[in-house]
Amino acid sequence: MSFNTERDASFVKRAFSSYYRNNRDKIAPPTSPANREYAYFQFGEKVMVRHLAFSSEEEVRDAIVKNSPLHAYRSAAYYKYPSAPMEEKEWMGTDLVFDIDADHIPSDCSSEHEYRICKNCGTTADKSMESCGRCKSRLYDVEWVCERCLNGTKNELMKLIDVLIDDFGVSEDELEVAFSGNRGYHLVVYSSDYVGLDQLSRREIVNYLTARGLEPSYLGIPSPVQGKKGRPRLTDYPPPDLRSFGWRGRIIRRIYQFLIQGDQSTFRDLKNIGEISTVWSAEPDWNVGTAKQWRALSEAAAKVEGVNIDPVVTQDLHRLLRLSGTLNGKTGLLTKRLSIEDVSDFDPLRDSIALDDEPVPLTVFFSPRFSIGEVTIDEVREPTKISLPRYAAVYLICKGLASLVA
Amino acid sequence: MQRVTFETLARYPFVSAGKSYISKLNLTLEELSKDYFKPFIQRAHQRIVEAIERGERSVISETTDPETEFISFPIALILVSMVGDSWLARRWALAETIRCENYLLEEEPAFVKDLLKNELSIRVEEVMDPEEKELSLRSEFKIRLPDFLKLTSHIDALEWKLVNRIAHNGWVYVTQRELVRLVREAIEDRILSRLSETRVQGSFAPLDAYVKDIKTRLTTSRGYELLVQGKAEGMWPPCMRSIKESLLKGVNVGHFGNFALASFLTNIGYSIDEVVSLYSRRSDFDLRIARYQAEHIAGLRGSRTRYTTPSCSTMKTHALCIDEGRLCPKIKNPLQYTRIMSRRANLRTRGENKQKE
Ligand code: SF4
Ligand SMILES: [Zn+2]
Ligand SMILES: [Zn+2]
Repeated sequence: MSFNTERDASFVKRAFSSYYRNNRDKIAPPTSPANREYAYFQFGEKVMVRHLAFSSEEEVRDAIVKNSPLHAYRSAAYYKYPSAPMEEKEWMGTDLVFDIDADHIPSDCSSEHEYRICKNCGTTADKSMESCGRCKSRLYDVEWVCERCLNGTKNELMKLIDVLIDDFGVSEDELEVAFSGNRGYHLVVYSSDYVGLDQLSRREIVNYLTARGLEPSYLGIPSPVQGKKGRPRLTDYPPPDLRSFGWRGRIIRRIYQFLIQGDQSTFRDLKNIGEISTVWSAEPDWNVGTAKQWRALSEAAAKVEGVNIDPVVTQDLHRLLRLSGTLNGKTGLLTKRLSIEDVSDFDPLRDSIALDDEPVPLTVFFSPRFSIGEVTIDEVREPTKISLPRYAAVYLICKGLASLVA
Repeated sequence: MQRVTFETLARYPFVSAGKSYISKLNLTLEELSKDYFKPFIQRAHQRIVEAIERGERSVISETTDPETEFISFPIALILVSMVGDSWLARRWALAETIRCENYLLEEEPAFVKDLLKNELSIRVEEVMDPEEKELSLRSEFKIRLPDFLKLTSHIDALEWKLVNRIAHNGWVYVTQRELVRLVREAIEDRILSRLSETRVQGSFAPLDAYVKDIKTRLTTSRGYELLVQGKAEGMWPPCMRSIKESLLKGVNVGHFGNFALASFLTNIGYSIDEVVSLYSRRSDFDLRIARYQAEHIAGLRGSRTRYTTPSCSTMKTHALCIDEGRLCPKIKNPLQYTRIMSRRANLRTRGENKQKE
C-alpha cells in the first residue's frame, strides 16, 4: 500500500532527508563500490531508476543524501561497466547472497494479517472483498507483519549463519547480515571462492541449504534403498556419532533431540520410541530401529533443520539488494547491518528505529495492537486521532494506515 | 611435482613436465622418419585404434617400456591432429583419460594429491587426522567446496549432489575412487588442450600410412551415422535440435539431455538402429551400451514401459528449453511441436497440390 495523500508523502520524504543529512556515515555501500549497479525509487514515482554507478563509497553516500529516495538498492554482482545496459555491463562475478522473507516461511499466522481495510470507516474484510460492506468505499490491502513472523525469519537467519560457517567454512568477517527494514533479512558472503559460481552451482547451494533432494543413505544414515542388490544392513552404516559433519551430523543430532525429548504423538510409526530413546540416551545406535523408521525420522529432521531461503534470489546473478544503512520506504525502518553476535537479541521493531520521537498528530484509520520503539499502540478499528512519535507515525503512514491530521 | 620419473610420464603423459621434456627433445617431424622412432609411432597408432574400437571401455593397453609409453603420446597427438576429426579427438582424449584414471586409483594418496594440485590446480588435501576421517564417513580426501561444485556441474547422479555429501569447513569429503572420477573432465580438457596446441597439417610420409588407416577405421565404426541423414529434422523443436547439435560437437549433454533426445526420437518413430546411429557420433560411444539404453527407453527392455518425452516444463527446469519456448507455439510437450509442424506441412502441400490442379 502506498501513501494516502501528497502531504503524507512529502512529510515522510522530509523525515528521510533530514535523517540522511545527520546519518550519512551509516550508509554502508558494498565492497568494490565502483563495480556495482545502484538503483532507487524516488518518492511519487512508479519506475525504478536503474543502472546508476558511483566511483566511491563517498559518491554513493552523496547520492543518497541528495536524493533521499523511498527505496535504495545495489547489485549483488560486480560489473566492469555498471552503468551500461544489462547486455553491455560485462559481468565480473556475483557475491553469494541469500534472502529470508516471511513470505517463504510456512506459518499459520499469515491469514491473520492478510486482509483489506476500509479507510473511511475502519471496517476490515478478507481478500476476496472488493468494496466495504458497510460504506461501499474502496478497500486497501494491508501488509502487516506480526511478531511471530519476525521471530520466524530470525530463526531461519540463525540456521543459515550456522550452516555457512560450519559447512561452507565462511568466516564471520566475510559476512554481511542485514535486517531489511520490513520483515526479513539478507545475507551476503564476500568471498572470492564463490564469486565466480554459475547459476547451476548456486542451485546446488540452494538445494543444500533447503535439504532438497537429500537422500539419507548417501550420508550413512539407514534408509530403505530401492532396487539395489545386496541391500545394506543396519550394521553396515557407520554408527550415529553426534559430532558427525554436515547434514549427517545435523540429522543425527536432531533425531537425538526428537528421541530424547520424545514427543510420541509426532511419530506414530514409532511404537517402540520408548525403547529407542532409552538406548539413544546411553549411546546412539542404528540397530534399535528399522531402516524405514530412520528414514522417517531423517525426513522430519531435515524439515526442521532445512533453511527457508528464497531460492530465486540466490540463483539470480543480477539481483538487486537493499543498500544497507538506508531507510525502507515501506516502514521508515533502517536496513540495518548486524554483527553475528547481535542477531540473537535483535528486535526489529526496537533496534532498527532510525527516526526521532518528535510527536506527530495523526489520524489512524486502522491498526492492530502492536509495539514499536517505546510505544504500544492499542488496536484501532475506526478513524481515530492520536499523537505518535515520528518513527511510529512514519511506520503507519508508510503502510497507508494513517494520515497527517488535516 | 618434485620428482618426475619416466614411469610417471608414461602413466600421466599430460603433465607439464612431459610437455617440457618433449620440447627439449626437439622432436621434429624429420626425425620421426628415423628407424629409432618406428616402435613409438606404431604404439601411438595402437593407442588411437584402441580408442576407436572400444571407446570409454578401452583400457588402452600398456607396454612394459615406459619410454615407448611416454614418447608415443605426443606422436599420437600429432596423428590425431593430422586426421583432423573432432569426434576422434574427443573419443581418443576420453580413452586416454580413462587410462589415467585407472592408474590414479592405484596410486598412494599423497601422489594423487600432488598431481591434482600441481597439474590441475584443484584444491585437494588428504584427510590425515583419524577423528576427522571418522566423522566424514572415512574419506581419504577433501576437496574445496567451490571446486567440487565446478567439477560436478555436469554430473546428474543424486549421489554427487552437494546435499548428499559430507561438507565441513568449506571442504567436501570424497574417497579416492570418487576423487578420480571427479577429475575426469579436468584431465580430458587438459589432453584436448594439448591436442589443440598440436597443429600439424598436410601430409607427412612416415605418418601418412597410419593416418590413412585411422581414417578407414573411422568410417567403418561410424557407418551407422549415415542412416539418420535426411530424417525430417525441420520438424524438430529447437530444444531437441540443440541437444543433437551438442552431441555432434561432442559436448556432454548430461544424462537427462541424452534421455530427453532418445525418448523424443523413439516417440517420433525412429528405429532403435537410427537412435543408436545418432549416438554413434558421440566420442564416448559404446555400441553395446547405446543399444541397451535405446532399447530400454523404447520399452523393449527392463520395465517395458515406453518412456514419454519429458514435458516442456521439465525441459525448462533442466535448462534445455530454448529461449523460454518463445520459438514454439503454445505447447506443453516437445512432441506437440513435431505434430503441429507436420500438420502444417501437410496442409501446405495439399494447398500447393490444389493450386496445381
Ligand atoms: S517450448 Fe518445449 S518444445 Fe519448445 S524449446 Fe521449450 S521445451 Fe522444447
Ligand atoms: Zn467502510
Ligand atoms: Zn505473522
